[in-house]
Amino acid sequence: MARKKFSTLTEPMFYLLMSLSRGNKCGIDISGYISKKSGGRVQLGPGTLYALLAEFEQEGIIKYVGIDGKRKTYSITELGEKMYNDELSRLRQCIIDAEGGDEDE
Amino acid sequence: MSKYVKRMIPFESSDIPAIQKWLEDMAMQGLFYKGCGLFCAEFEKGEPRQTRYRLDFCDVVACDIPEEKKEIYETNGWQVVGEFKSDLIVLCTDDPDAPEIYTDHSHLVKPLKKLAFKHMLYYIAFLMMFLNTRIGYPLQILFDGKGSVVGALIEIGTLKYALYVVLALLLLVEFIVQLRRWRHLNKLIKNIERGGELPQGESYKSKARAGRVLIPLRIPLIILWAVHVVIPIYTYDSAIDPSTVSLPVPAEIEANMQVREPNLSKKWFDVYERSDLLSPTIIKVRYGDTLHSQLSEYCVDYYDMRCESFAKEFVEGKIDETINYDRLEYKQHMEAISADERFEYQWNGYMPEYTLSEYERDGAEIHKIIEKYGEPENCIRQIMYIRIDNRLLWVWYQGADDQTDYIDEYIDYLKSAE
Repeated sequence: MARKKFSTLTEPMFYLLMSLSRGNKCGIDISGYISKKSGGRVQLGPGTLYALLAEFEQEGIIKYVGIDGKRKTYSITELGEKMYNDELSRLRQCIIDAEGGDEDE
Repeated sequence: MSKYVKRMIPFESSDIPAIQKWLEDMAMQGLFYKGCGLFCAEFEKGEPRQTRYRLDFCDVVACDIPEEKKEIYETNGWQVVGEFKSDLIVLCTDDPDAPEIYTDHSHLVKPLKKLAFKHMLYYIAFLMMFLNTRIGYPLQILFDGKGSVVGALIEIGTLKYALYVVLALLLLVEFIVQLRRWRHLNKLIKNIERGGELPQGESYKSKARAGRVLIPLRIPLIILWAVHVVIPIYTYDSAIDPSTVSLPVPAEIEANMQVREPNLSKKWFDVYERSDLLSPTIIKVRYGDTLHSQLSEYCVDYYDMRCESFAKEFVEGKIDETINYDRLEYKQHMEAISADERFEYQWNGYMPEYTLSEYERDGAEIHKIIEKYGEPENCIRQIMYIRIDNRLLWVWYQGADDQTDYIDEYIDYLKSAE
């Protein structure tokens, strides 16, 4: 179900999984990570971030691992890792395709 | 002077773009949102300034926003101001560059669908309430186009009925408003699903005007509807002493009333009085007698109408209704009676014929209708309307006497009632 729904990840989804693939984080840390990593290019509004976290958790892409003070910490699941890696490979292939010459040229 | 002011909220919580724009406009007037109750929002007075307001959906019960979420809002430059009707969180910022709450609008689809579902339930509820208002029968008379408006309303023209009509109209308006809101939300959802965004800065003036009228009425409307379901619509006539009424009684009826044959006949003599918006005094006299299965009946209604034009319209409408009767409806009615074993009656297909004569006498306008309702010679009914100014008598008689013989007595009655 999750694979079909998220067959192509949006940029915020991809960055969210990227942030969690580097270690467990809470919402604020995820937001900070994405902003820093993308140099402010990718903006994840608080509404969108919370909706994404809830959706990913429901689909088993990430999981809630504990609470640190008032902050909920999440980790990426195996499914999430796979989706992130698949998307990374797809994007790499896109770059290879874009940078490689056309065969009939 | 208080530093807080209250304003009525002229929107539903589903009108997110309109609410956001309204709060921004209030801030430009120096009124900053603080919180709200069922109908009113509270604003704090301050220096007018441009402030951005956004609404987010509550993902927890009673808008108890998690501290972490608050922190994320603040990190992004948004302050949590409070809740809005328990469904939404109000956020504001003075920073024009603060990122939107939803950078990916597709995440609005799910909560918007929930809202749309709520409005679907609302419009179904209002439709059911409208369909269950007890105003159908008199309205049907009006829409039939027969008779007159006065004639249709006189049976139910009470203040209570007028209120019920208003109630039904308001329920219909509410149904339309909720239906439109549901359709609007569905359009918005489809637009977002196609990659569109939630509109900002939407004009809300007309919505606000409608909201100011309808929203405060909603709860009284539901209560009134519930009350009207349990209280009968008609004002029942109250019985009065027959000896107080000085109307003529046809000799035949009077003679029959004296005959005591309890096992063979059923007799009645009743007088009722009631009041109506169009006619403050209505007196109904009913004499009846079934002797050896032969029906002899005499009915008189007295109406003291509010004005002469009402009395005139009433008479003209009733005459029109009688003479130009619906032949198909009559046929169906008689066939239904024939088919019903309880009546032991077979209709032979005879359609009633009416003869109208009109004249004036002693200052009274007289309209007499002879109804021939069957082939035998004695199948005759006499119907009369006698009017002086705003007072009138309707006489309905089935029997051997000629009602014309009593006209002077009717006129005297109308004159004495002046």
